[in-house]
Amino acid sequence: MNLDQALRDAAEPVPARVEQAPAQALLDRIVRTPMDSAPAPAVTRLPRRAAVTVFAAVAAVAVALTVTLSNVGAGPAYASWTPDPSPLPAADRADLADRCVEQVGGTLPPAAGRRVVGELRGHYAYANVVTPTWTATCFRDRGGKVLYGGNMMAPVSRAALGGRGVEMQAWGQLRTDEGYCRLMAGHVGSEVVGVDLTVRNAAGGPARIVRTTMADGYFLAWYPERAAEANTNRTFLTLRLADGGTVDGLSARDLHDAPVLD
Amino acid sequence: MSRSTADPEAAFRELFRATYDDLLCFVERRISPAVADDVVAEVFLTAWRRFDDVPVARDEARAWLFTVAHNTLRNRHRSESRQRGLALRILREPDPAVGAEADGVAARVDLVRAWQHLSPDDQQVLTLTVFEGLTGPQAAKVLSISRPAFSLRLLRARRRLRHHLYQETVTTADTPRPGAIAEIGTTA
Repeated sequence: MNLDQALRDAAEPVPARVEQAPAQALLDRIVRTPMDSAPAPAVTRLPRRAAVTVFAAVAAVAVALTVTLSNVGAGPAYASWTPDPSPLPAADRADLADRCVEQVGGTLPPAAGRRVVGELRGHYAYANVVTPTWTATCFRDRGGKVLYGGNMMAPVSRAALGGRGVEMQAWGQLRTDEGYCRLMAGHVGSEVVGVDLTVRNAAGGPARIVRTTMADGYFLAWYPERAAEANTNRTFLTLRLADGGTVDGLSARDLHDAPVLD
Repeated sequence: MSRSTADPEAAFRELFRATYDDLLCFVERRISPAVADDVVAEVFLTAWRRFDDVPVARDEARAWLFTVAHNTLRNRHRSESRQRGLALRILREPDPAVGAEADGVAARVDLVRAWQHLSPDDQQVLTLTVFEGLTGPQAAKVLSISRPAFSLRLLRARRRLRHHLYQETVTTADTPRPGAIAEIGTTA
């Protein structure tokens, strides 16, 4: 007998459950929800070798495109997007959060003690719903369609973040009718008064600066980003501190893997 | 390959029926059974909403669901797993064709103990291959690592399991039983 078979034989068997009532109820519940809101895959990181290959393949094209693009990864899509956000009115914010969380159905615990941070960029609204046990992002496209971005469980407490800590609560691409965009949101320590993003593309073109919306220690922003750029763009956070100092060079991707606790 | 959109609900129901038990088992190996249902619900909801992105081939669709589940679990456990890795439970999907007790209780105990000495990372690569039946490329994709990196991890995990198994066998017997180890490790 080989090792694999020995392991399989040693494993504890579990019964089939697909025909049981909870599974059937779940299936029926899911197929009643609309299919058309389409959160994109939380694009996973390519291994370094693959990323280099992608870089080589797109570099020549990207060099040419850099000359003509004025926004991060944007063509005509997301044309009204702006690097600086505008406030999202409170009623609009609450409505966006309600419609978004509603789409998730019963898959998240009740949103007790929730707060919503939101913003406008051009014709688009974006919000992060934060509760003590989970966070969820919501996006409203230019046509008014609300898309669910994703969620994160067990956010770090404000106390754990201390003065200069950062937790990335959302970091993924979303597909809308206009193509892909990058959604991000997070939570910072008490000494941080602002967060800016620096987005560098693989072609080495000029870096783009995106200013995030900040409220009560929570920040969020989004920007157009093609699917192919998910693994080639490099995004860094700069924290602006209450004492006038800054902390820069924080990789968004690394922060998503593990927060910085102060 | 794209999916026919003639009757997506029927196709999704078929996918659900074919993969629910495997996915639930995948999740239960990695998280408390008390919350496994929630994760499975989240994964299938994602699959439903992104049904066009789900591979048509059943084997690839199953691997796709595992990748989504892995990322979902990673998000859920992110804060706590920094402090401690999560041990994987040894569970076996329902399969009437499997179920030998050939090695007896003692061998099973040795293996389970040896398994518990492995790091969660070692348990992860072995589980993807041995229990979840993924190919090397599929498992590498779940973990977002390259194929050679996965192969190397798997090789090392097998080595360490054999080592722990040997230790267990030596510890639990009056005399070493190298023959038993050689037999178990021949096709790793």
